[in-house]
Amino acid sequence: MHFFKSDNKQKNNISEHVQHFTIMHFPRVIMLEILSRLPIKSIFQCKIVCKLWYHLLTSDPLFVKMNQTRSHNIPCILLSNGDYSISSILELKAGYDYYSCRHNRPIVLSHKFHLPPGELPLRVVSSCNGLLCLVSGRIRYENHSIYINNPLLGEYFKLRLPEWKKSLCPLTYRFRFSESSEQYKVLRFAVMFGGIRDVVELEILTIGVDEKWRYVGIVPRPVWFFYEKIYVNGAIHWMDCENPSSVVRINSFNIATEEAKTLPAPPGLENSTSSWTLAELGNCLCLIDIIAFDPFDIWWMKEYGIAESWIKDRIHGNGIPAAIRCVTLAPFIIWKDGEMLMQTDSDSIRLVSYSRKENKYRRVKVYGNGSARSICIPTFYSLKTIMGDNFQVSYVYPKIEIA
Amino acid sequence: MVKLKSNDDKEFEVEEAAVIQSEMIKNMIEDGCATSVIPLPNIDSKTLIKVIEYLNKHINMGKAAETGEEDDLKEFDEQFVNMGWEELFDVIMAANYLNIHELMELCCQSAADRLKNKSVRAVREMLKITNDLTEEEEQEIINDAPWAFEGPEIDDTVN
Repeated sequence: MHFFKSDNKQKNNISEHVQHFTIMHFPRVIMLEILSRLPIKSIFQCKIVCKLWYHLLTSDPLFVKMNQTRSHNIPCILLSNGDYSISSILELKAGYDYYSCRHNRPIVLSHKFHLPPGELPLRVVSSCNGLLCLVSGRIRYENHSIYINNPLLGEYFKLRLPEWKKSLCPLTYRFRFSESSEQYKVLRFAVMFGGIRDVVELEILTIGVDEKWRYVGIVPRPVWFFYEKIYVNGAIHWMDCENPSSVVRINSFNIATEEAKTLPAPPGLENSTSSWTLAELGNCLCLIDIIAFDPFDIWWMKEYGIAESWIKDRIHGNGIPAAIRCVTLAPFIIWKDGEMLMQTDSDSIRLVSYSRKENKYRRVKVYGNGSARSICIPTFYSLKTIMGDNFQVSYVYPKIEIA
Repeated sequence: MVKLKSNDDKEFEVEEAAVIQSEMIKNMIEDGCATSVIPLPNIDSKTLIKVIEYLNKHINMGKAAETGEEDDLKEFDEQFVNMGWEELFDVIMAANYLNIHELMELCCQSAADRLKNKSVRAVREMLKITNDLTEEEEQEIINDAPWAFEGPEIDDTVN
């Protein structure tokens, strides 16, 4: 239906005094009800529709709040290159037929996304609530820098790092929000030279609270990849690696209470640490077999902390469409009706969705560079509202003044 | 039955079970303020007919899940929002005034779905918005996020 035509017809049918609305007559709240449902890219485009929309979409706190409650329905996938340098963010869309439709594809937000400027490539070490923790330079060298960045708004700040000690070699950082204490914390794991090989020092900086990094203690040395996001039940998790051929041991560190614990591994695991990867799927702690392909096992800790609740799923790879034959599958989110979205072993983004109900794989048609790392839910919340008004924030782009 | 009166003086009888999906009317009934006819000075009869159609269809929404009628309801919703912009905006205003949460969700989502991936020009034309930004201001905003203004999915059509 062409609405310009039907428009005139409608007007003839109704009494003269009835005022028809255009979107500009809506109260602000209703306009935001609509605009906050748009995908990210459309939101940025709509900023230049008119002045009113520019102000609503850049500085209205209600817009930020409404967008935040809705954005969980449309997950984004963080895509990165082999070296974990960030390549782009892919926005999936609700209600989209990922399996057949060729046009109307998911939206890729470019790699020119608003990251802090610098000559060295930025790599993502951790992400939380749509904010990224980025490292420039090599973590093990003194001159590396750590940034906290809101890639949507182009805001960032550089963390002041602990005083450099020759006896310590930093391994990785983690950036997490504690829901119970409502604080953002950055954790640093560092190996002690000449010390015990299988433990690391843990230091913490509570953002907006601590002046200096606090030494928390020693924890088992993690075997983990550069980037990982295994956050369940208020704690981060890792497997320790005293000896890769040894049995699986799972450690946790609670972000709010700052307590380290050991969690029970699945009973009777035959393979050693090196054949498993620890993950979070659908808010469950999981162990995923990374050696076998067809079939491969996923262990789920159905009830957090309960040894008896570990359940094994055996997943057969034989139903995989020929076009995406691969040797490993890395599940990273549970989406659409409980299906598992998996990255296949390639440098480009090649995804399959596995339905346990139907025992069926489907190729998910998306486009973009880099491989899927994890989901990320971008936020329009300013770092200032999150970290406190006194926070010194830098901007990738100068602020625009529009009257 | 509850009687509703539109601003062009037409009266409609609606089952109470249907009409109480409107929080506003539900409150009026609970407070005993809905004795004879409820006047709705902000809603014309054409819009009210649409709203009543929605309320009648969604009357047993809670039961739909049990009886497997969810798909039917989904199809109805899809058909329901298949209307012009002005009509959609009238229904949104009515849903907002009557405080019918589900209808508000449905219509705002439909509006957003029509706007997503549209080019700036298409959005302005569809919604009859006059651009009051200067060319320099526009360029400045584009420079801030050039990635948003390019891509194969951007749609310049206005339907």
